[in-house]
Amino acid sequence: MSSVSPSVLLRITGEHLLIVAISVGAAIVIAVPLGVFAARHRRAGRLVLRLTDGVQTIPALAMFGFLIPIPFIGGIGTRTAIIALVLYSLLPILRNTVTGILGVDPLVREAATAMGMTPRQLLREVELPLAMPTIIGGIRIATVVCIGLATIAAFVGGGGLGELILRGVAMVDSRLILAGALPATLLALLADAVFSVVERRLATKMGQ
Amino acid sequence: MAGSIELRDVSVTRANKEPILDHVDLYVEEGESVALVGRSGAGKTTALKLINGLVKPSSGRVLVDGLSLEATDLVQLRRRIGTIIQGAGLLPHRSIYDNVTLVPRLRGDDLKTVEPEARRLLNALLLPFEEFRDRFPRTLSGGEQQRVGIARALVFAPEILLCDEPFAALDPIVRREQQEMFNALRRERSVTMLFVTHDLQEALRMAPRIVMFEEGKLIADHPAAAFISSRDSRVRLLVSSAGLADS
Repeated sequence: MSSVSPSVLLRITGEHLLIVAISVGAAIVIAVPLGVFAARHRRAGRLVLRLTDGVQTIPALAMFGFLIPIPFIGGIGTRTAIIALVLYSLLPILRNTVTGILGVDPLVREAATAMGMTPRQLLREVELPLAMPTIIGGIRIATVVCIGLATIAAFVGGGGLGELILRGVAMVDSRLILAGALPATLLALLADAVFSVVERRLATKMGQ
Repeated sequence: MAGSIELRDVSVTRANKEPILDHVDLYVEEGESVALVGRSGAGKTTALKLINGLVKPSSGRVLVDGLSLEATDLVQLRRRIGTIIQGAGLLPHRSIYDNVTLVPRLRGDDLKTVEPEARRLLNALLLPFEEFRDRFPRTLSGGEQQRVGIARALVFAPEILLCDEPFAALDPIVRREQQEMFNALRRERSVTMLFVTHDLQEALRMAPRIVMFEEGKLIADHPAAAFISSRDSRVRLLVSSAGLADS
């Protein structure tokens, strides 16, 4: 039976969080503008949603397997793991951005337009702020899913808590498995709690 | 001063459906007030939305100050028009003060010069400025929100006022009070007003000229007195259902 020193565990947990943060961050940068586009152009939007829906149905292990042989984006390592995680994070954020924007009271949108807001002002001052609690909800789901999925990244040499689990499995060492699994679970619960609070606060502020 | 409005042979149609507006002609002079009446679905709201470009004509032309809207910057035009809609449509995430000063902020006006007028209007509408300025719409009653909507439309001295059933959701006593407050404030300055309502009583309180729509057609356009005594059977039906028919 091997054990993990606290400092090593902390470093690996930090690595895990970094992978998740980068992945979710990149997904936000891609999915929010895409969601705005999808809400504006319903037909193209449906296509975009179906595509990201499709990505979501690929089993995680298979996804990593698919990515490895692709030149430039694939290969063994953290980069492949992050790309896969970004792909998985897109859908919840994209879907919630679309839902949030389409959920803005049509009366408010019409009044704001009638007062002389340009489409850009409408987006920045009305639609995005009012959709923000819903968008945060999407980011919350993406983060929780990513924290769990990132453990699988270890299979492609992505690092993070999955490494401990993988080693534990290989050595049939349940303590090592737990050393990886428990922090991941706690991180997921913590992220869920923090984002839920932000989401509710914002919703109250937006008059919902 | 400006604010003349003209609909010139305007139709609004949707594919394979009855026209929403059917060859409508209407001229409203600068400073004139006109009430648009008719049942719901008659086309009066569509007629209103043509003027700020929220609805585009399928054929015919819409002119404000003699200029066709096709050749007009709609965003700039809308910032000269005060719009009041049923339910107010306030921004739920902005304070009452931010809501009232929305158009001046969009125009880039100096808010220091706007604040006294915002204060005066809210006070006149029985929404004491100091008490209400930092509150949010959800903490106000429907009637109070509607009055914020009125202040928002008047605060920048618009050339045109477009009102779409602003008082329809209110109970009769409150409605009467708000009609009077609104009339007192809008008459301070000369402004062209189109007022949509299904309630003829309200129309008569708001405007000396009544225009009636039915199934997308403009079927009557008279001074109030002539409207009430019209021989047209469709007008008579509306007049008698409002309890105004002379026996």
